[in-house]
Amino acid sequence: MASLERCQPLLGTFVEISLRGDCSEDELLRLSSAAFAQIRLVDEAMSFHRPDSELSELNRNAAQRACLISPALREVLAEALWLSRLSGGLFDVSTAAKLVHNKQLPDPGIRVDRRANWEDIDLQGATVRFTRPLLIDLGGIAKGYAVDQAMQVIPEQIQCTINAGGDLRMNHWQGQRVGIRIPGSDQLRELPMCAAALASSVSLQTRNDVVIIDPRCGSAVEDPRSYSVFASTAMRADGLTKIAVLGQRRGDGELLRRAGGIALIIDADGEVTELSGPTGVPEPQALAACS
Amino acid sequence: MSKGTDHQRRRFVGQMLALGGGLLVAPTGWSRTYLSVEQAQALIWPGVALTPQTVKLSREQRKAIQKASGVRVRQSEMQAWRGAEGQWFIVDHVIGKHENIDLAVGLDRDGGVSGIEILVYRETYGHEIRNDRWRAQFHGRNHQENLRLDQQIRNISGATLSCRHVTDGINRLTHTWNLVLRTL
Repeated sequence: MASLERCQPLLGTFVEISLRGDCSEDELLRLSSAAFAQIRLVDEAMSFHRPDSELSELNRNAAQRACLISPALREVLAEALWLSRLSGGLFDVSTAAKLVHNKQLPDPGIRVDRRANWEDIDLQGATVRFTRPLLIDLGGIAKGYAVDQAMQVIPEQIQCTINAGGDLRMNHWQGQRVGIRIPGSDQLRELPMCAAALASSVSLQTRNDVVIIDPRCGSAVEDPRSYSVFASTAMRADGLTKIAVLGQRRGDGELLRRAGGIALIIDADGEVTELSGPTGVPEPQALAACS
Repeated sequence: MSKGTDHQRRRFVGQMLALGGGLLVAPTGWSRTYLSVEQAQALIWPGVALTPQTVKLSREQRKAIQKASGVRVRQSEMQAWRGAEGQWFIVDHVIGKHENIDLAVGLDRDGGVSGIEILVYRETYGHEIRNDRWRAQFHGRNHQENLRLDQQIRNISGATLSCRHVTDGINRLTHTWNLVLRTL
């Protein structure tokens, strides 16, 4: 039984891949390289920070004409728009202009319409057109997608965990546990894995790594608690953390249930509560898997 | 909400709290070792024979690198290896949030970054669990091997850490190549 742990700086964070399997160490090295290559591809295509990314090209052109996009970008945009519809716009990848305004993203020098939102992203098959000039940032979802893509290249018989700075996915997750940092402390709260993927988020201006913008008012959310969402894919979990943070403000746990996620809040004392709402109940099958 | 689902929800949260209770972990020095130097060399420069090379940076060179990269140069001696065709392999250290991160960086004959691997990551946040009663909670199912504790407890999520110091360190090294290594 060989095991390997590797870590590279990618996606603006540290991506860690842990592998374990009945094979040679060389094979694990080869698999981890293939997984990192997948993450690099997503980073190159979907980064707002790279002027040469497919996303940046889309941001430059889609207000003028319908643009053909790759299947990968299509998959992420389709999920993003699904989450937007589900959450009535709580999740909105068109908030990039606000992040640029707050100097949390580089300014690409593109004029946007301040009224534009996710409904102005017109995805038709493999083409996208913006019905109002806007900027898309996939920072709230593409990291999870990258983790999912990396997991695709790992054979089932190899145990694998991929953790991209809090976007985590395991292929053999049943019975596993994770440590989630208690906000404002250097202690961890241990939780059982409840699904294949977990994303964690804290939205504080003082931490320069995570900021969540409330699309309804355009301002950054200040919430000192950490939100963790379990879901079947890392992309879903990644997107749902934003809905959990924003949905909590209006006490809507129903959104998460409909999206198939389980959200837990960890406060500064390390207390864990499930995100409450009118019917904020985890799926029965998820419960069974956890117990 | 029906009584059944309410009950389920409370039971779920109850389980979470029961599982979580008592499992707060005292903060300790936390470090994680990834690849060995030899593994990183083989990954970044496969099939290339690398020779250790002592590189000492003079005070002037350090100042020049600092000026060009905007990053402070803390070390005057570099841990470097060189390939026959001008490739470099460097083991470098950057300060993370609190502690050192050791990383390996490959620079090609034109000073381009050909690979980055984190070798050791040290941080000061809560760490591993030594609680044996966990074992009983693992069902194991179809993956008995997972019962090994060291596999269980290292999945650190939510620790979104800034990569900026690593990026700074890489910038410092590319400027070091430009000002020093390329003329060696």
